[in-house]
Amino acid sequence: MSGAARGKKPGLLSSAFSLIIVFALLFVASRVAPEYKGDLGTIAAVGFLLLGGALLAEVLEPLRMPHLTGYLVCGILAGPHILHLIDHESVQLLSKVNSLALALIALAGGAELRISILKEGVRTLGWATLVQTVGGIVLVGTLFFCLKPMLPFAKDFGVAQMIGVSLLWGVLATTRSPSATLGILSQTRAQGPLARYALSFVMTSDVVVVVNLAAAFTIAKPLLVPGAEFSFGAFKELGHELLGSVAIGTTLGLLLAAYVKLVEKQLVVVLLALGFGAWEVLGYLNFDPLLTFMVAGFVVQNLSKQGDKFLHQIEWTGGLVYVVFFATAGAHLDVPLLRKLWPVTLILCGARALFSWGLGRAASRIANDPPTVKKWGFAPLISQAGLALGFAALVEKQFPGFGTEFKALGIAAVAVNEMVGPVLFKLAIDSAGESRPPVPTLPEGDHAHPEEPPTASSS
Amino acid sequence: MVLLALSAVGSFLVGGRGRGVGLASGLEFVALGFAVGPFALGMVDRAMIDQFEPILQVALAWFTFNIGLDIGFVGERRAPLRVMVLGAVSTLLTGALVFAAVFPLARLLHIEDTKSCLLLAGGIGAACAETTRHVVRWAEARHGAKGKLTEIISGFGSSDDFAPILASAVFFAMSASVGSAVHIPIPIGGFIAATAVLGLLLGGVAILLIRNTEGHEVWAALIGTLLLGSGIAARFGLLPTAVTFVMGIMLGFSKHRGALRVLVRPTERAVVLPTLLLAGTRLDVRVVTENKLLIVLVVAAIAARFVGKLASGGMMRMQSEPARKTGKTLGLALVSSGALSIAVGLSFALRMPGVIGDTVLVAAVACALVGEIVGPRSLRLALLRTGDIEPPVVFTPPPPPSEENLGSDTPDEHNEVVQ
Repeated sequence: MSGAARGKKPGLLSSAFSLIIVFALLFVASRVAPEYKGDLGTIAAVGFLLLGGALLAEVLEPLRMPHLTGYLVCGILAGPHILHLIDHESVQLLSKVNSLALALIALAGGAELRISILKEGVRTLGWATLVQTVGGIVLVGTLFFCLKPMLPFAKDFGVAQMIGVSLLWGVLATTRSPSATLGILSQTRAQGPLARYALSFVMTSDVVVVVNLAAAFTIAKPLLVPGAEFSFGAFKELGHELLGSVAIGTTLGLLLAAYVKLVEKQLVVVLLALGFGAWEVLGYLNFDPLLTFMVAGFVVQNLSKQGDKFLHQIEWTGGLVYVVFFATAGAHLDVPLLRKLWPVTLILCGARALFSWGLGRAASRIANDPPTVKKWGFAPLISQAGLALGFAALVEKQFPGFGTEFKALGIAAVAVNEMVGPVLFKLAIDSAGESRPPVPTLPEGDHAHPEEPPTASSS
Repeated sequence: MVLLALSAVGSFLVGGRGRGVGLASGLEFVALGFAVGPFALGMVDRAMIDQFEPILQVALAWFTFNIGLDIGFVGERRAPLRVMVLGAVSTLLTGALVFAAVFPLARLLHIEDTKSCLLLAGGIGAACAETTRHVVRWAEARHGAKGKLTEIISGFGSSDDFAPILASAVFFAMSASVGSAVHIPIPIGGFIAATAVLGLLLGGVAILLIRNTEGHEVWAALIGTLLLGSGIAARFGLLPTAVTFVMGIMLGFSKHRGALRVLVRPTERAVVLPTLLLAGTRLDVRVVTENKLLIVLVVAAIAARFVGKLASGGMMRMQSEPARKTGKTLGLALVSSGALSIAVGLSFALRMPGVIGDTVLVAAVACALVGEIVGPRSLRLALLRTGDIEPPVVFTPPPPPSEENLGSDTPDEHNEVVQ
C-alpha cells in the first residue's frame, strides 16, 4: 500500500476506491442489519479498522500526513460519534488490544535503546529531561492557574486548591506518547540524531512521569482534599512499583533472550501471551507494566545478541496491532466533549506546544545539541496518548469532586495533541532528512517465491 | 490459555507433521480436545469454549481462505482440468449420495420439520464429501511418494473442496433466510449471491491493496479483508467461510499467488491444529448416545461415502492409465477426510447448536476416523502398485563366503525387494 509513497497515481486511486468500498460495505451492513450483536460484529470492526486505517493513511500520504493520523481519522469517522459504523460496545471490546499494543510498544522502545546510543546522548537527554519536566510543570501549571475563570469545575476553588489542581495538570502536560513516537519512527524508518533523541527522551520520560505522578499526588492531596495529610506513603509504594518492575523486567528480558536464542519459533505467540496475559497480571500486582516491558526489551537488546531478531519480530507484530490500536483510539475520541471544551483545550494545547518548543531550545543550547535536535527537538514531545489518559483517569478516581471534569478536559487535550503531535513529528523527521524509503516485501509476479516450504498441516 | 497451551504442547508432541509424523486427518488433535473437553475429562468447561467462538470463526475463515488460494493447485502448478473436474464431480457425487442416504433416515427419525431434515442431511453430505489433500502430502512426507498417481490424487484432493463449501453456503443461506438480523426479506438465492459478491468484492479489494505493498501492510490487507468479510457475512447471516473461500479463489487467480502462498502457508499449521483441538472440545457425542437412531444415520452416511468414493475411484481408473494399475479398490484410497470435513462440521455446530449441528460434527469426525483407518493404508498400497512409493528394502544377510563367490559380491546383490 505504498504506491502513493512512490508517486504512483494508480496506487492512490486504487486505495481511494478500496476505501470507498470498505466504508460502503460496513455502512450497508450496519444499516441493513443494525441489531446484530454477535462477536463477529467486533471482528468486522477490527477488519474495518485495519483496512480503513491503512487505506486512509495511504490516501493522506500525499499530504505528508503520518500513517498514524490516517488510522486515527478512520476511527473517528467510523466511531460511534460520527458514522456509527462501529458501536460503543465494539469500541470497548477493542480496547483490549491496548494492552497488547502498549506491551509491544514498550518492548520495542526498550529494545531500541542501545547503551551505546544512550551514552552518546546522555548529556542531551539529561538536560532535556530536566528542563522539559521542571519547566513544563511550572509553565503549564501556571497557565492553568491563570485560566481559572474558563474552568467551570474550578470556579469555587481557593488558591491552595488551584495550586493543587494546576500541579496535576502540569504533570499531565509532561506525559508523552511512546506509541506515537514509535509509530512515526517505524513508518519513516528514521535514523539520525533527532530519531535517537526522540526515542530515548520519550521512553525515559515514561519513568520520570511515573515518579512525578506519585510526587504530584502526594503534594496535591493535602491541598485539594480537606483533612488529608501530607504523607510519603505514595513514595513507598512507588519504590516498590519501580524496583519491582525493573526486577521483573530484567528477568523477563533474560527469559525472552533465552527463548529467542534457543527456540526462536512462535515468538508471536509469546508476544501475544505477554501482551494479553502478563500485562494484566503485572497491573494487578501493582507493578508498572510499561516499565517492566521496556526494561525487558532493553535487557534483550543490551545483554544478549538477540536484540535485532527480537526487534524485527516485534516490529512485524506491532505493525498490525498499531493500526487497530490507533484507529480504536480514534473511535474512542469523544467528539461531542471536544466540541464543548474546545476553547480552553486549544489554549492549553497551544501553550504546551509553545512551552515545549521554548524549553527544548533552552535545553539544546545548554547541552550543545546537533542543529536538527535544536530545531526540531520539541516535535516528538507534543503527542499524548494512553499514559495521559491513564493519569486523567487516576485523578478522577482520587478526586471525585472535580475529577470527572478534569478527566474530560484531559481527554479533550489528548485528542488535540494526538492529532497534531504525529503530524508535527513526521514533518520534523522529514525536514531533518532522517526518513528512509520503504522496502517492498511482496514482489510482483509468480517468480516471487517459486518454492513452497513444507508445512505442518500439509502432512 | 489452557487450550492454546495444550494445542502448542500437542503440536510439539504429536504434530511433527512436516516429517510425515501424525495422522493425515489431524484427528489426534480432535481427540486431545475431546479428552480435555466438557464431555470427557472436563478440564475446560463449555463457557470457556464458548469464549473461543469468535476466534474459532476467524480460524475457520482463514483456513478456507487458504483452501481457496490453493484450489486446483498442486504446489505452484495448476492441476490438469480433467483432474479438477473429476475432483469436483466426485465430491458432488459423494455428497449427493450421503445426502440421499441421510435425508430419508432423518425423516424417519422425526427430526422436527422438513427444513431441519434438509439441513441435517445437507450438513452431513457437505461434511462427508471431500478427500483430504493432506493424505497425499502425508504419503509424500512419510513414504516419499512421487509419481503420476501421486500427482493425480494431489490434484484431485486440491480440487474437491469446492463442493462442500458451496453446499454449506447454500444450507447456511437456507437457515439465514429465517431469523437473521437482516431486516429486508431476501430469498435464498439472494443470500447465495450475496456470499459470492461479498467474497469477490473483498477479494478484489485485497488484490488492489497488496499491489506495491510493504511490510506489515500485506498482512493488514489480508487479515483486514478476511475479518471484515467474516464479520459482514455473519451480520447478514451468510457463511463466513464461504466468503473467505471465494476471496481465496480470487487471490489464487492473481499474479501474487505464489508470494502470498509463501506468506500465509506457515500460518496454516498454527490455525488448523488449534481449530481441530477446539472442534474436539465441542464434540458432543451425547447427541448420538442419547438417540441411538442417530448412530444408524451416521453409519449410513459413512457407508454412502464409501460408495461415492469407490465410484470416484472407478472414474479415476477410467480416466488415467496409472490409476488402472491400482485395482478396483482405488476408491478406498480416497476415503480419507480431515480438516475441511471437520471445519464444515464445526461451522454447522457453531451456527446450529443442538441436534443438527452436533450430529453434523459427530458425522464429520466419524467419517474422518473411518477414513483414517482405511484411507492412508489403501493409498499406500495403491501407490506401491504404481511404483510411486519405492517398495521397502530388506537387507538379507550374505551367505557365508565360499571360494567361488569370494571377491565377487557387492552388498546390493543381497538386497531383496519385498513386493
